[in-house]
Amino acid sequence: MAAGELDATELLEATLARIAERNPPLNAIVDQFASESVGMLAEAPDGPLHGVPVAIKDQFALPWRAPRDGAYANPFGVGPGASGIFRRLRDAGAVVVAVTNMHEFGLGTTGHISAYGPVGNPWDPARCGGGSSGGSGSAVSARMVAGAVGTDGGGSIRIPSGYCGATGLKFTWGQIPVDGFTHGHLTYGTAGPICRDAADARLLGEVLLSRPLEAGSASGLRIGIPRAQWNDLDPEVERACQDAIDLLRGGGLETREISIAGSEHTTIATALPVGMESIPSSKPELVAEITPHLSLLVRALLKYQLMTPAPAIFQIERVRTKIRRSVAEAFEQVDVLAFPSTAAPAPPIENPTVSLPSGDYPADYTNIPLGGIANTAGVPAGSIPCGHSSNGLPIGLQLLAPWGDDARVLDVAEHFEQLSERRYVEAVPPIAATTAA
Amino acid sequence: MQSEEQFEIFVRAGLARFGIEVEEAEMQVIRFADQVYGPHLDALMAADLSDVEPETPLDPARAPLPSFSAERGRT
Repeated sequence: MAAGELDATELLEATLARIAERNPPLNAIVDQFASESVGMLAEAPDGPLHGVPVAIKDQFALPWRAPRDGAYANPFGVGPGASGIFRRLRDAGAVVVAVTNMHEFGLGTTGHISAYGPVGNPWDPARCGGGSSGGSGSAVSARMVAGAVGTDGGGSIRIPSGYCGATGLKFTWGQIPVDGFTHGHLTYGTAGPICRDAADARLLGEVLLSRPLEAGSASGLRIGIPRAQWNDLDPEVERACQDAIDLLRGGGLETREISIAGSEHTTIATALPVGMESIPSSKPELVAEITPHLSLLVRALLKYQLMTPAPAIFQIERVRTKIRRSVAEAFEQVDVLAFPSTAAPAPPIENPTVSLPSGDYPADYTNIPLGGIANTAGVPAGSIPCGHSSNGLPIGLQLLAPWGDDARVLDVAEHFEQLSERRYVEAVPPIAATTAA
Repeated sequence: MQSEEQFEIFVRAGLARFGIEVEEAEMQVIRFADQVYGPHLDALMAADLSDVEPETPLDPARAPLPSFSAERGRT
């Protein structure tokens, strides 16, 4: 668009046609806006995303639509309006063309439970697109849109990015406007871009943050390898991620083993508070009111969380501080941390369990300890595609950077893209290769 | 060790206090969730974290101070 090689009206029409063609087996897009997007384009200012169609997760208010949070409705009282994230997109000239599917209330990492139906994976529509920002990851991977906004409270940008072979970035906590965002009150969650590659993620990220994410050199950076987060992985995931680290090391980065104290408690220190913050479980009368409208799994989890012993909250606060201090100490020794985005590739929608060396587990159970560290700490973290399993499913490498240094994640991502000759970011899923370009 | 029956009584009675009923299908999910996450909760509750003061106030946008005592020492 910036080079003047594309006509914005033609691009918008092509995007809507592509969504109509590719979305049915994936269910990544749950609402599209033919007339509203034409109106946005007509009024689009000459900003950095002028005329670029983007999709947005079902957690942000649009002037013509209230978010539903992947459920029958959002119970947070967020109605239609120009949310802060919408305003930043609009003011940059972007065209909000669609809303993406998500795991109900954001309470899962698979995307197979949603009031709209499950999110499919472009690499195999019978597999999970991930969660909770599964629709955003799936829509980008299927090349329906160049970029989508996701949110991440326990890996919810990085997990679908890993599952779908996209590049996703969860910002440092607290940098985005939270008005009109159903989960804006979370101390674990924030938003971020999901795109095909790091350059696109940088561009969309700058718009969402309303500040530059200045590119720097990744050469010479020190990568911390926390070994505990490399345990009990699908062997193909471990191999692909280790190969990626080796490639980065060959490209001028150093590696150093480190450990994160308290990380053995990441599962519960993430799942419990995120669940409590994500749903209004603190009000039993509201639980009673909304549960008849929810899926069996979410309403049962909501009730389970009401029975959490109060002293656990205090323990979680302590372990969160322990993890944050340990992450801060790690960043005195290294520049980024790296470990897999997910322990295994995307599981089947019909049975979202994964097989690891120690046994079979629900995918959520294996994803949260890897995704939750960055949310517990508050640091920026991304997922970059770094390989494929023997059955053709993408594999993601996760990168964490210090507080406020969101650009560093993208610097390393771009360096890896160059070293790998862009073969993973250029890989096209079957659904995008077999339909009309 | 809490028996399955004791756990069910705990859940049903606790939620009944809020006027919330639990269907059998929901109870099955709750039992499964507790099998998965219960050991992690038990481990957290058993962990000795007495040397860690929670941050007050917590600011996830920034690196934490080295310790709460250091924070209190600031003027």
